[in-house]
Amino acid sequence: MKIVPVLDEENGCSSYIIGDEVSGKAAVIDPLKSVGYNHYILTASANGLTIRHVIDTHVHADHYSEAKKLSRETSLIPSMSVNTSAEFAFNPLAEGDTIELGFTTIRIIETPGHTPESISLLVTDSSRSSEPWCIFTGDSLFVGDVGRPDLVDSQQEQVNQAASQQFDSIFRKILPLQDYVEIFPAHFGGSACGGLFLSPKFVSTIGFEKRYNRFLKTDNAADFSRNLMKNLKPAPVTAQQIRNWNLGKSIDT
Amino acid sequence: MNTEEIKKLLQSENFILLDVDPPALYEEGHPSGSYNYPFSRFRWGERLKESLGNETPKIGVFASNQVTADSAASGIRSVGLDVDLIFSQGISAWQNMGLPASKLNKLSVDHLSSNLDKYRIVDVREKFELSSGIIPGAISIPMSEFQARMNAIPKEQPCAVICAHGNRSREVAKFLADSGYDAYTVDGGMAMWLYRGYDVEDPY
Repeated sequence: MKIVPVLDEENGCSSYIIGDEVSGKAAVIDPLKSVGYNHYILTASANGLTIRHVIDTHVHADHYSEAKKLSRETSLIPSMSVNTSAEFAFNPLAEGDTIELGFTTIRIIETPGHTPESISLLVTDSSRSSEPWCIFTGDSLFVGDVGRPDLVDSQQEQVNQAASQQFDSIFRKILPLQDYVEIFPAHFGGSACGGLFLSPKFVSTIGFEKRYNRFLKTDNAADFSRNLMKNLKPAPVTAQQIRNWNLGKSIDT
Repeated sequence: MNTEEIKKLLQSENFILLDVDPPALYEEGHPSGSYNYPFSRFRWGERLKESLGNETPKIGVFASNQVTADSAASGIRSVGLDVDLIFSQGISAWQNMGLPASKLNKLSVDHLSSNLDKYRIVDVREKFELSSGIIPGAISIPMSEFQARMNAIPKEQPCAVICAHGNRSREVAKFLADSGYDAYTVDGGMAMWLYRGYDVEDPY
């Protein structure tokens, strides 16, 4: 398996090229408009990989996705959660679906919370083990932080519900993984989608976060939510506009 | 360019077609007679020019997408060479135009392990690499000695070429296939063979 991080340091956004070096098949996860499709295609190619899937873990609220353009350039259609209300054709992904990249398999785990259509991607490399090796957590579990629940709908009741979903997603679906499983979130450092404690380091492990992520100290959902709310930054004013653009609801730029 | 024009170009003397996609994609399907010269952003044009030496052929670029094709074409132009053909729609479109395509034969280590009697296995790793073990019954012909010793390979039997990860074996299998052998590259090489837990023996 190969994982090539493609980072936008200015905005704290992580995207990844993941592939199987034997078959040369790759997927791009959360491609960034700020990076541009050329870079993904040529970076994949430099690694002996060809892009076969373009996946967004969720409809981003802080940055523009390059998924549509990158898909068009590689004769693909983007893949997103089946729960996405996008206004363009996409390949719908649901809990338990798998994407095969040679010996590497991506399994879809629905992890709503940050947004209702958030998914995480659990990855196995069968040439090494049948056990999962890493997970792309999108904006659910971050390094040192968790994804905020208020960017889709800022009404208190909706935010509470999203926070409770985020708790379930993280505690019931992600943390039960083995401690050695690596996590690759969609953000690091100063991203608007995280808070004060979001680490500038883009990768961690389940075990390290379980032990040292301050939002995971409690396994009580109400305490988790309270903690989350207490640490919220003001929402970026463009959140709704960016989500709409990413959903194909506004004109392409 | 239409089909006839491309065909004419392919047949013209002093023309080479470079498939600039990654090796694994070339393996799955490429224009017949093309060479795999995967594009990279670092000194690609310069390296191409160096490997051409004093020759100045007409050059065509083949890729599965516009970005790679255009990048390769500008790499070629940047070292003062001309590009006579850019085809950026991949192998299916190439075939749909009625143009000839080929692919490389390959085997998985799983298939090989359960069909050991069917293939003559040729391990092309260098001697110093063999301490990790060789597949029982394989013959060792290091790539550096390959052309001198390839007559040890029987033409009557299918031949499975293996190296460490599958890159050298791809080259050798293509060379053997072009020379009339029923040759296959083993995908993933000895690393994959050992990952999957198959038997090896001491080469010494």
